[in-house]
Amino acid sequence: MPEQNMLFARTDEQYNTTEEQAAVDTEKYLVVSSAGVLYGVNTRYIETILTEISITWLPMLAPHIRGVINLRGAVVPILDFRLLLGQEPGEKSCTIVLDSGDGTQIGIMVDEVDQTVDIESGHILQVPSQSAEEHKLVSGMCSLPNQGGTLMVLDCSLLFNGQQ
Amino acid sequence: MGNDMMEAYLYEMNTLLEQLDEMVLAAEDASTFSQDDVNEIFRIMHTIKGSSAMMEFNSLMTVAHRIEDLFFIIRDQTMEVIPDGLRPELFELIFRSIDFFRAEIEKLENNETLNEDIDSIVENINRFSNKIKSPGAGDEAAAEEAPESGGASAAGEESFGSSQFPYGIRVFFDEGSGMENLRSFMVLNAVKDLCEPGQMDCLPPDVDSNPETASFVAEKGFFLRFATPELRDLALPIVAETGSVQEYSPFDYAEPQPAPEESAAPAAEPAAPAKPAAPAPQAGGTPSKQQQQQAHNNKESLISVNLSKLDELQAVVGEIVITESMVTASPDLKGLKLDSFTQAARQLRSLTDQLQDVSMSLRMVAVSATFQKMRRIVRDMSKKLGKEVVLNLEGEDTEVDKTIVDSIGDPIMHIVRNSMDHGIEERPEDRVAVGKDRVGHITLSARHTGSEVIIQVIDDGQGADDEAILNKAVRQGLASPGVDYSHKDILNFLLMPGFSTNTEVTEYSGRGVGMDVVKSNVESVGGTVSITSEKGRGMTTTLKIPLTMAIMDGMEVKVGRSAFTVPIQNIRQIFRVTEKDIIHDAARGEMIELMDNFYSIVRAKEFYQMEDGVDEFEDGILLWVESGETSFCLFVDELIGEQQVVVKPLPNFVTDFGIRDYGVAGCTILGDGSISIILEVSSIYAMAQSYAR
Repeated sequence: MPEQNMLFARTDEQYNTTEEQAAVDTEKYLVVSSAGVLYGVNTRYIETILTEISITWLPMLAPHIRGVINLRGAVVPILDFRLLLGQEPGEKSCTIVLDSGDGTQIGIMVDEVDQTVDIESGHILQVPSQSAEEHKLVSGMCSLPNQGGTLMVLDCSLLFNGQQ
Repeated sequence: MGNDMMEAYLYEMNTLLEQLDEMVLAAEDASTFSQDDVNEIFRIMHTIKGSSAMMEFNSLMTVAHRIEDLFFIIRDQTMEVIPDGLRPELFELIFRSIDFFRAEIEKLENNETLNEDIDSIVENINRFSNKIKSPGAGDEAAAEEAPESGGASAAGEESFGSSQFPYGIRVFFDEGSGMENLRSFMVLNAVKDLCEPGQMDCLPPDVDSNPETASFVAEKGFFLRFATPELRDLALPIVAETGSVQEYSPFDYAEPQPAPEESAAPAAEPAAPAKPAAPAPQAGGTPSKQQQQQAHNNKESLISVNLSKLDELQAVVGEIVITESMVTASPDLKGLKLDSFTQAARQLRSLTDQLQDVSMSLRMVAVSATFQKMRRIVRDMSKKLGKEVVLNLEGEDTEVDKTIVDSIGDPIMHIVRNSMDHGIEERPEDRVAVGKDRVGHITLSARHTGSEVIIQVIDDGQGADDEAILNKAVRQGLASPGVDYSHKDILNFLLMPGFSTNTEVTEYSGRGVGMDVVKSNVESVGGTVSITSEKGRGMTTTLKIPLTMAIMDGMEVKVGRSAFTVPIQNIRQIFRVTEKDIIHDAARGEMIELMDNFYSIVRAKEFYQMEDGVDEFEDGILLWVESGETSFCLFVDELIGEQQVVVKPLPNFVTDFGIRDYGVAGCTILGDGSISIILEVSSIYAMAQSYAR
């Protein structure tokens, strides 16, 4: 199978050792983009990142669930993030596989994976209360350094809940 | 550690109780206990007492102790001591005790507190013991003790030695530890294996059966005596390791100085009268020791393994099977000529096949334990309902996967209860009147047919009354009045939720939750239930269950770009058709005539609303599939081939969408790493029918 694992997790670990002391209340986020918006995913949840996947379609699912993939023997459902937010499917895609910690895995299809950033928890701000679909999944916002734009921090635990 | 002990204890208790139940049932049929049975029950109660004491379950220990005492009397004086009139009471007593133990063990398993109120059961046992205790029995016991204590005092405080076994160890247990006699017995058991029989003895000699020895041991110690110093040296470290031993010291037999002739005589005497007084324990002791040894041998060749470990093994083996075909069928190898690789791959394949067989066989257990439990149910119910019924077991050795055995116990019990309650006639005269044996017969049979096991419960009772069932079904709103139902349809009402032909709710068969629970339980392990019955001739309930759920033979088919796996056992026939073979009905439904019957056709492409796939019958292929009562044809694009597949459950994330109802039962990973959807045909049909309406 043409599955390629990118080595984000590994580079993270190297940073970890040097920054351990400095990191007071800092967490690492993976920045991904979907339909022009940047989202931050806590790296704690990230199992792997796949660029090419072959999805097995399953009948009778909601449109945003593309199907399941075989990830080293485990059957993992794949969510299309654009379709989840009711947007048009994109042309490029990259899949991040998240692990809830108790063995539940899901894959999220986004446009692109950008970089990992350290964010102090104090810098994550409340989302103005709006009822847009997107905002239900976003637990906070923060500005990236060097005019990098605004990051929507995703609440991954909500993604695992599927139906909601 | 504590958990391990608890687990071992529960396992032991369950095994012993099962053994006991079986033995008492057989004995009840013969209406007597053979001497072997008595010895065995004595031994079992003894073990239960000992291990319960170890675990500090005092109520269990006390009850076991009382039964042990009772059987001590019986062992001593044979079954003759119990007049025929009292025997049913004895059996009942033991069954009640078994039930008591079972209930308590269940509580332990569920981490509930034990029932400390055992007065009534203990009193029952005591009362029975008193009934059979002939006046002479008490005297004998007293006579047995008297010379012994006399002998001990005559031999003097210091000489617990024996001239035959001069090399001794004196053992003291922790003060106040209690149960000194049993602790002594444990020490004795630990040491006993060291030497040949007749190479050692102990004082007091009867710690295993005489609770009075506890005080002797607590006061004076427990004496192990050996024929040679070498044996003693071997035994010392074992004694040292045994729990609760406070101190121990070796001692040698000292020739009594004054008048050796005279003092030897009293020393020998206490042993001598004791022997004739208790010939039975001696005689009984030998076979039970043999049995112990046998049990010991069995233990060496059998180990109990946690089921989760076997599950893990099964999963890994499944992965290996998949990975093996991923490697050997790798696209990278295409066009290469690799002779030695091919040869090695072939060998690997045969080894993985073997590995798979072995790992599957590890999980296989005989259905006999489940069947044996039904004996007890039949016995209790025939007593309660006043119906005479004989239970026949056939094919008890049939082996099925452990998880399946666990899940069929309750269904079988329900069916047997139903047969007892509703099937077998109330009055034997009614049976005789229609030319049947007075005694009702229920047959429980199990047999293999390749990929599945068939379990049947057959009774020769009054059978199903079609009219009564139909009336009832109409009343329950399950059937529409005025519609002509076939015999088969009517029997199927019995399996529907909320149906019971008995107007009264009885203790055993409940309120008709039985049969539909049976159905759903059996279906949860991929099996089917069917009922056949002839009025007045009895009823047969058949459970068809796949041998194992983890690995199965499947037919890979393709629809559009998706691969599906249809279990081979569901496929009756595969064939090509042309448009003109198809019969259309008014509602755009399609059917085909096969063997003088019409079957509807479900197009997989349309059923799953897929974009790709063939539409013309000429381009695709029909699978005639069957599952239980369901039989129809599934139209797919093409066959890929037969394959052994490892069933994987789909993640909850997707099953939450109710795809199970659409026949998506699970998935499997194919040799090339792609995923194939495993279909469950009966759900497809049910869903397609509800579409059509």
